[in-house]
Amino acid sequence: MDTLQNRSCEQLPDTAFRFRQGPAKTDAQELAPPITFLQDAWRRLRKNKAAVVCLIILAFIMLIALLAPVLAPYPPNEQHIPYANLPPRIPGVSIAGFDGTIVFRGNRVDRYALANVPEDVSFYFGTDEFGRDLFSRTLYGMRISLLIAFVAALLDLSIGVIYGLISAMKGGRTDVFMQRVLEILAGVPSLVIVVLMLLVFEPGVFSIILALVISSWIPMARVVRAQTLRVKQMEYVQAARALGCTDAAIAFSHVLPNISGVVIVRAMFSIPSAIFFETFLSFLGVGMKIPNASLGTLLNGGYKVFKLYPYQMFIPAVILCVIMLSFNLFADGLRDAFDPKMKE
Amino acid sequence: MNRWIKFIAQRLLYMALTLFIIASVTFFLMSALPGTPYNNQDKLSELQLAMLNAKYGFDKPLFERYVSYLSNILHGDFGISLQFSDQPVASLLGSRIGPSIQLGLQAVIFGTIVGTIMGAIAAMKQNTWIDVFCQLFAITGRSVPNFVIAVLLQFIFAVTLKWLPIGLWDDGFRSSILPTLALSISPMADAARFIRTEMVEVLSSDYIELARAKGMSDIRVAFTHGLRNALIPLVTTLGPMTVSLMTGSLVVENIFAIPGIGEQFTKSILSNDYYTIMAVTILYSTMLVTVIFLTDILYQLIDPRVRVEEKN
Amino acid sequence: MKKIFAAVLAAALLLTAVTTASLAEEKKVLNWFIEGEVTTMDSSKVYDTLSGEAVAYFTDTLYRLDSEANAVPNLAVAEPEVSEDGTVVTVTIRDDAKYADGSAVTAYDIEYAVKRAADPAVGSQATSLPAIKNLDAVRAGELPLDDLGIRALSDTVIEFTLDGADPYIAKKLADTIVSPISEAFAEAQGDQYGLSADNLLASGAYSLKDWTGADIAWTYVKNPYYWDAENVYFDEITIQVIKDVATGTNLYESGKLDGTFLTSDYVPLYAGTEDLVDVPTLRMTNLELGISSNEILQNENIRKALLFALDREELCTSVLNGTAIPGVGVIPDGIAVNPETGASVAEDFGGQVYFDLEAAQAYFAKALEELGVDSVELRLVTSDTDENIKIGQYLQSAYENNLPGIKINLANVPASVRFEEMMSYDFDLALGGWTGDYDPTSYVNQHRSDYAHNHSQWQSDELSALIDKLNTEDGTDFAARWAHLGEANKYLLDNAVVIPLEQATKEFLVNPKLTGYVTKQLGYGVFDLTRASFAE
Repeated sequence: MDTLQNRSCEQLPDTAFRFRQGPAKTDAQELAPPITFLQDAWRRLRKNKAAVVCLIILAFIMLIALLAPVLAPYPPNEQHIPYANLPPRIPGVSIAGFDGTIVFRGNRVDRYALANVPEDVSFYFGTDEFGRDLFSRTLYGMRISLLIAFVAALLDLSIGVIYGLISAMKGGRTDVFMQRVLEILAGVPSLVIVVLMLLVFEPGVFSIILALVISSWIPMARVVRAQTLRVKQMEYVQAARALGCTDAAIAFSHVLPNISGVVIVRAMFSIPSAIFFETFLSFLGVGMKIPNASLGTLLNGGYKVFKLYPYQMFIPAVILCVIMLSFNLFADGLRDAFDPKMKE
Repeated sequence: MNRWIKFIAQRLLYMALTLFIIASVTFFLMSALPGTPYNNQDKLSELQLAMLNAKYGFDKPLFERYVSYLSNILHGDFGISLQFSDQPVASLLGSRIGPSIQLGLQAVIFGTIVGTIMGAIAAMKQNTWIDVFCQLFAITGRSVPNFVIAVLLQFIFAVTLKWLPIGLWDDGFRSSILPTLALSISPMADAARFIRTEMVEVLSSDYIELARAKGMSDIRVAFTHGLRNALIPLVTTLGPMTVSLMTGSLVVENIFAIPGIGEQFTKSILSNDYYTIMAVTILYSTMLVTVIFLTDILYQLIDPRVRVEEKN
Repeated sequence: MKKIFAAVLAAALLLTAVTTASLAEEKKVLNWFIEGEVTTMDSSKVYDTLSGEAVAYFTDTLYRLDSEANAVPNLAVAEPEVSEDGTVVTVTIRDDAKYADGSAVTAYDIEYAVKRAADPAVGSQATSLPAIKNLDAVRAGELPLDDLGIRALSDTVIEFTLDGADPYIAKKLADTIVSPISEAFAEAQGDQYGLSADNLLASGAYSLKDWTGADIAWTYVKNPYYWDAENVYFDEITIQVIKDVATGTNLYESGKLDGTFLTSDYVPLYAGTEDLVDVPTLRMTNLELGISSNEILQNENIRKALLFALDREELCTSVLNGTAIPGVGVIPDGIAVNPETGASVAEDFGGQVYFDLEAAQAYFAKALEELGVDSVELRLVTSDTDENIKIGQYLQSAYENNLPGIKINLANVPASVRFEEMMSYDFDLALGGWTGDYDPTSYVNQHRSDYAHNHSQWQSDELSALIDKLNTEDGTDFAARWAHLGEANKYLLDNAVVIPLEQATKEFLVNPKLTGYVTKQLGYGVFDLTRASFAE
């Protein structure tokens, strides 16, 4: 076949060949340039007010997390025992809860006065059991948590999506094999692996990321596989296959855009899971290296003293919620922008 | 029909193989755990340690232990707990798994139903305050760890309002309400998000316009087409989530003083209780592969487009 | 396999249903707590605090401890009779003691119980047996069980033969491991003995009910045959496992529990109330030094800098909210007094552990000079419990602030991993400690050069000789014993082999109506509720 075609090509007059080729190429460049797709998505994203607001909030949060060393009024791990467990006080604010008073054993007391804290010293988010400034710790903690969140989302979007796609697109034996591997990975208790990691690694961000590599992307791989199996049966995919598209091309240009909604939602879900996973690891001594803070360790410390100092739990919880809310609404906008089926 | 039998038989075989590999991998990983299984080792003499090792067979070569352990499992013998002296592991787990399964199932069922309703309403009332509220609720529920929710629920409904028990497992169904609520937040949020996402997509597709034009009501369209599509990603994540909720959330169980399995497992790893680790792993994996198997069958039923036979 | 789980699950559900049956109104019930599941209810196998606490409710001991830690005759009718050389101890037990099934308690049952605990075939991990003659050889299987130094002379007389004189023998005989086990009952149960409430026979004030192996709630019911049943007030004591301190306090405040434990965080919430009960313990928390594995720590000045650079008062009062008192030395204050003057450990041996920033910094500067470095880095390993992590964080900050140039890396690991590091003598600093028995020598024995738990691997013939004297010839010469204890303590602190930190106190909430209970500083469990009652 090949040789026959080659021969017939050679037999064609040069002029005719060039004539047909020229305009076809320029057409293709104008009609389906990948850049305009992104531009189009960006245009649509900008129209979504909620998404834009969230993007701004996220950018702001990332900025203050990055600038933590500049913004933090105190070193995050500096202890000042006499100032332990002071409630939040913001100068000039007299709302209960942010004025340095707290209800303790039924009475509202000014703990700053009890601890003889000078008038000009205020802790915006209060202090913890060692008198460490929770505002500074929260800033640094956001940094760590955002890093972990990004790594988790990245792993989800890379390993998870590709694994799920390959498994579903290849089908047959490959699929069966890959699914068994997934089941085994999910079945071996990650705790056993994590405790074993104690032998090899010291606690810290690196260990957390390693633990995430082992397990975090598994649900994503499952969701992508299930969705791909569904989309694979669609007429347009079958049409593409009939036209001779390769599996990879189908996967990336037809399947992926059509499942992007679920993928993005799933990736957003993996972020809090990763943050909680980090909390859990910190419980076991393989998470954050003590005394460094993350939102997870702050929450963990806060819930234990909720009955005494509720602010220690509420503040990191609210911040986590704001971050999550922004991520989710932004992701919604992103999905709508990317989804080729969406209407104007 | 024949195809189904073949499909199921094949899957069962794979399940057995998967379980075998998990058991083997865990066995060898576990033997590499640092520390020894004896609690009082800071005062045990060398002599006592040697005696105990002989008693539990730890003086034998690893491979020999592995073979005898596997053959014991096949005979239904899961060994003796090291942490709980001389108690058979199977009966220990049996006595603790009931509440965990009950809570896990209740949480998943309640969470999924409420989440589905919320997601469907949000999708149909897209971009209204109801939608915004449902979304906010779902996202907030997903961003706060369940132990924080548990503490808050306990404080509000038990300590302050005194409507429900603070904890303990002695008041029948009432005891299970607050822990169920705390655990149901994440399946609820998942369900709401997935259902809304899928339904919004379905509701804006061409065939819905057609169905509408034919005079089908919005609600019917949403449920017949939207839900079915949404169930696939939902079922995929809910399966493993059910298992992980059933195997327990140790912190929530501690907060409500529930005799579940959560902490026993964590403690068995931290205290090198080898046989309990093995049994819990096998139990957990069995539940997981069974759930995955059931999910696969469910796919076939929900979505006829996913064929039993993928190969041509 | 799934079938087994299903069957067991069904049984478990059934049991839960049975245990929730309501109680009759006029019963006197105490709703008590325990801090975790018990690992065994078999008195021969108890090796952890929680099990020891749970077993004590239903096993009768020869002696019991009063709140001043004195041994008081209980099942025994009088103080033990000790032979001239101190090695033969004879105890007579009461003839009216009965098990919960009405059968009589005899001295033979005590002999049986002790032999059972020592029997290698039973495989007990318990370490609380007194130093009975041939114990180690019997445990190793080198001598038959009958060569163990215990013998019932009659139904009511039991004779212990010891390795050496032991002035604290009566207190050691207060342990449940030397309490009677009915041989007939145990043999009938075979290998099922002790695995559930049905396979146990109580000799104490209460019988165990509704316990199947790993429960988090169970009940003790009054034993009508108990020899002192008329002084046992409660018909029933229900036990609930509480792990979350906030839940415990919530249940306590709602009246669901008559007692619960507190952590240092929660103490300020109840300070000064009549509910707060504060029990000093004799647990020493120490900073242990891996001298053999770390060259830096082989420098005496650096060890001394570590000893003096800590403000233990701040640690105990402000960080631990008063749930600890500063350690005075290697031996905890309150475990014993000077046999001649009655002076306390703190009075006689104190004064060597204190906070002196200038001295510490001077030692540190000298150490850096000797080592030829300008900074040192040490790893501090702690268990991953909340209180340990808390102390670890304080130590890190305090050392880094007080000794500029030192860097402490914290590693919080499961307890078993910490033990392994300490037992392989490969660590820098470890937050450890020692809970001894009633004998103060148990706190210095640990440092004998060839002892397995000499974590620092400090080698000293002088110290070893001193410890040997304490355990042999000093058994009958209390004054010399006290003096030698002081010398050992001084030696350990002069060389800064170990850094004493604090002596913990335990804090509880207890229903103010509850009276007549005994709090114990040592041994398993804090509360002896046998003769407790509600004040009307």
